[in-house]
Amino acid sequence: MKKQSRVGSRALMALVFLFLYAPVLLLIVFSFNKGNSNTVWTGFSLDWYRSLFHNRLVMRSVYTTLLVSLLATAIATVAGTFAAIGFYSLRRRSRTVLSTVNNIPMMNADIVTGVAMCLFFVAFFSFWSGFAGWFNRIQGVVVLPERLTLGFGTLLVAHVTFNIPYVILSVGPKLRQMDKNLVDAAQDLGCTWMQAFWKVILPEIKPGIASGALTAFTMSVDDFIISYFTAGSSSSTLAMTIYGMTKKRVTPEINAVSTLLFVTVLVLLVIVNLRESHAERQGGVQRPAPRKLAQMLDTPKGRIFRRGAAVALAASFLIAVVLLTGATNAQPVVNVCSWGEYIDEDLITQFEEETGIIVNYQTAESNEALYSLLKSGAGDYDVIVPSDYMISQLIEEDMLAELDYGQIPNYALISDRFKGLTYDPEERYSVPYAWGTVGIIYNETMVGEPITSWSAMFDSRYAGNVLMFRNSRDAMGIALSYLGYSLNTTDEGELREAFQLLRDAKNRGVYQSFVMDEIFQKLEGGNAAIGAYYAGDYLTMLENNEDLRFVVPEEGSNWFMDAMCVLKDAPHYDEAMAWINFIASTEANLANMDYLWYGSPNQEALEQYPAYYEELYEEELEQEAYDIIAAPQEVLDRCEAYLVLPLETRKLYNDLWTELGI
Amino acid sequence: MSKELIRLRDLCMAYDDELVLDHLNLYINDKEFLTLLGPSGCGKTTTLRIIGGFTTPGSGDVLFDGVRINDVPPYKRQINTVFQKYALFPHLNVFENVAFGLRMQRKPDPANPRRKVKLPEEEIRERVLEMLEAVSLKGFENRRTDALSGGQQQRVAIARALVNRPKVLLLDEPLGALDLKLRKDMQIELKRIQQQVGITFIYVTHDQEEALTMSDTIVVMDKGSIQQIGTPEDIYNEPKNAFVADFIGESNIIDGIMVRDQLVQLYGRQFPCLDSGFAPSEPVDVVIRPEDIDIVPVEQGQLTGTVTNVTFKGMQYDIIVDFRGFKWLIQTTDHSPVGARIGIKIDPDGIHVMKKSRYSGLYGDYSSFSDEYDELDAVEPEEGGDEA
Repeated sequence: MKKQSRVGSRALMALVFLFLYAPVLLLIVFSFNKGNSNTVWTGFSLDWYRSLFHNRLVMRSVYTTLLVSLLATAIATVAGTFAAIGFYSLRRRSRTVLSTVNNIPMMNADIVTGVAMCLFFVAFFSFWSGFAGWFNRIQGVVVLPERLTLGFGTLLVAHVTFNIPYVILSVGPKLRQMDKNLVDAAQDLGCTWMQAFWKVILPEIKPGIASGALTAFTMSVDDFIISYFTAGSSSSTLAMTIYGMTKKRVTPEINAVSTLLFVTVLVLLVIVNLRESHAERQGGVQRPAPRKLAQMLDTPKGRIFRRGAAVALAASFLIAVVLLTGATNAQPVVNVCSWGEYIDEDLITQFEEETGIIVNYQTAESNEALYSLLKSGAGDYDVIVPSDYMISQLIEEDMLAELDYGQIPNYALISDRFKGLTYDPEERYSVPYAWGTVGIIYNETMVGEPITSWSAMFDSRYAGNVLMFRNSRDAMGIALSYLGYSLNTTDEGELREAFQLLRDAKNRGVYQSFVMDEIFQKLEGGNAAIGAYYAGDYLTMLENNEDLRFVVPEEGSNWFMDAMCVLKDAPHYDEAMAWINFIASTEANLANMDYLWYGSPNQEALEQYPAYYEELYEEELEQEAYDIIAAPQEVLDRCEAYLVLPLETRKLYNDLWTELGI
Repeated sequence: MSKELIRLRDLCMAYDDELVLDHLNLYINDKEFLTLLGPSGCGKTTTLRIIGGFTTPGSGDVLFDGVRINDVPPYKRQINTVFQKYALFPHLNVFENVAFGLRMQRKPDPANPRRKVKLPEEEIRERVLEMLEAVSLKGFENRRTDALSGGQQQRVAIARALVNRPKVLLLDEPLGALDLKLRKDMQIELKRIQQQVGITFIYVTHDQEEALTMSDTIVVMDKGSIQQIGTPEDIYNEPKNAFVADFIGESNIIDGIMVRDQLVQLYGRQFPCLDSGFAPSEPVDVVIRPEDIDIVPVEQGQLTGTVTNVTFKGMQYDIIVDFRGFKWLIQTTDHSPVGARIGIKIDPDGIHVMKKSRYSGLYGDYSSFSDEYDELDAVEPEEGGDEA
């Protein structure tokens, strides 16, 4: 009986650990996958790690992460240690109160801390610009910058802030364990307070400081939410970059970088825990460290060396900070916000080399997320790449700057059929970036017949095997297309009819689930038969599952255009023009078209792409694939672009979507 | 007559409106072994910390060799301290603990008197080893301090303080953490060391026996005031008030009336004594030490009472006797059974008469007698917990 229950509890424990670690293990395993699927194992390779180290965006964010984590750890460790000493010397009651106050930020939801800090910084900046403006007017000697923005500085401040409590928490107990007479004893024997600190307190609390610093570093490397709200447009930590990359789909490259991050944090945690258990075994007393080195450093020469090393370390930190801020100030910069995996990153390097302008490249999740970021005042970008309907909305709200087409000679290369579209009829605000269509992706073997109509998306025969968009515009769009209505209809009756269609199909169990990027895994792995998604992404899926087919249904569909725009008051207007002109070039469009498998708006690039492909891959580009990347005009003719909807209609969309209960 | 080294003038000190030192005046002679004795919270540790420079007095002056040193920080005073629980540096070995003070010292460079240099390593080594030998810790240099016994740690603490050749050594309940046997040995050892190095020791304790054993002078303190200053003999034999009489040794303290010089009345009976200088019929406190009482047959007794409790103590019996509701402690080698009626006799030199004080009536009755009546004092809590 007893034995049985022990077996049971072991099994339960094994199950718990399986649940805890299986996802991470899966991620690690697939980071070594040869192919780019997360479900189909095609062989071992280190390719994703290799490509990771050539990924400029990732490497830059690794650098940012390390720099901000190290600096924040150093500052927080010093500040936290002295704060802990301050706490320690307080009376018990005030100490208890302060410790509680100290613990709150750790308990507090990161999202609240992040939003609060973002608001605080933005409020401070507006106060500051008022002050600096006044200060600059009344005197001419010192010119204060009037315009401050979120960036590395605010990121660092945020990290220092959330790290300090961890240091205090880990140093505090060491201080309380310490014999409080030790400091008196040191002073009694000839030390000033500061000497007593270095010679007696520090050696005593060193283990606490070390584990505090390690914890802080781990927290810093690990943090996403607070960084996301405080980093602004010019800095991006690794966690933020990973998040940006997952917007499109989870590639093995993300697995690789996540694996590295996981291993790093794991190693740090193991070190912290080993130190703690080691200290416990020592009965809370610290070992006399690596004695040899200590003795070596304790000779007169060694002490000079030691002091020199300390000074050098401090100096290099300072220089790093100065260089960092100096570098960003001295060099021309352009802040770009686009979508995840929406550029061939070699282009960024190429642009930087050609022009000497540093590109801060960031990504947003969706048009709606970008919009709210801009509205909050936190998004300090120059160039953004919104979709058609969002461009009209931004123009309507006077948030975009007119472009100086004189500085964009490559605009002439844009095909005339993509100029003067409904979202920017007067060609004043935008330069097209890429375009594509929405269609049905289906598994030939599972369906058994070619699909040509949206009716498949509502067909009970495929019940449980259909994947529908998890956003109202696209899902309703499909229903509207099927019914033969305009994608931009504002007629409540038509909209309600489309909604009925969706709800009815949902109730009949047609939809396996409502998805965005999860569709990759489901279709590639053969877990669903039919789904609606973007044409370019179909080609990516095809690489992992040859049974997939794509069609733009006969009823018509949505075609979309993403275009580069510049925000009003962009701090780097001329650099923004240079960037837009560069991206509009034929070479850049060819590279992007090959990377994205989305259509290029550049006429030359559209024409030259098959030859470009052949030269690059030494095989012919099939006409069918080309037609999917860049839909022929007859397909576009039956498609419709989204327009910005009136507020009333948007509200109806929202209500209906809520009623559908996704 | 030794010369005066330290003078405390009118020291006052309060924590949170609670008076810890109440206009304290005291002088300490050179080469003297002086003990501050008193119960927990009497202000003895605060006084010591003021002398050491760890606490600044609320008002009053600290003079060292005639110079006011109120604002001199601890590291500039020619005073070293042996702390409660020793406060050895756990990250340093025995040698480095003892050498700590010497490594902090700077002396004028012989070549260029305006420059200060560290002590040469050979000198440090020599002095540390010499001091370790003096406290019988030769060969322990490389030990970790947490690998030492309590007594050995104690010696390291003493060596660490004395190696700096201070003029005064402060000892804050240094034997409190040791067991009884070791404590007795260390008492003798400390006295020997003090005589050997020939400097002033200021010793804080709540243990009256320790104070009596080692001190040249005992300062009995209570509630921030000095109750009595004197040699151990003075303090024991001629306590100034009921508090001192009770705190030092065992005492029966009885209300009496001074009939005239050398005659005191207790319980309506007159007892010859040696005290004089009181007003006629002045109410007084009378101290009778338990060992000064002889048990005699009832008919020969100056007083008669009933035995209510007997405890065998090895060398003697502790007997509690009820005299008209007031319980006395008598220490005697003769056994008397519980319930027996006995007579007692007190020689004139066994009676000590004191003026009435604010402590009158608080002490000296053994009604609440228990076996641990005195040991209770030994487990008092640490003093000055919130000074840090």
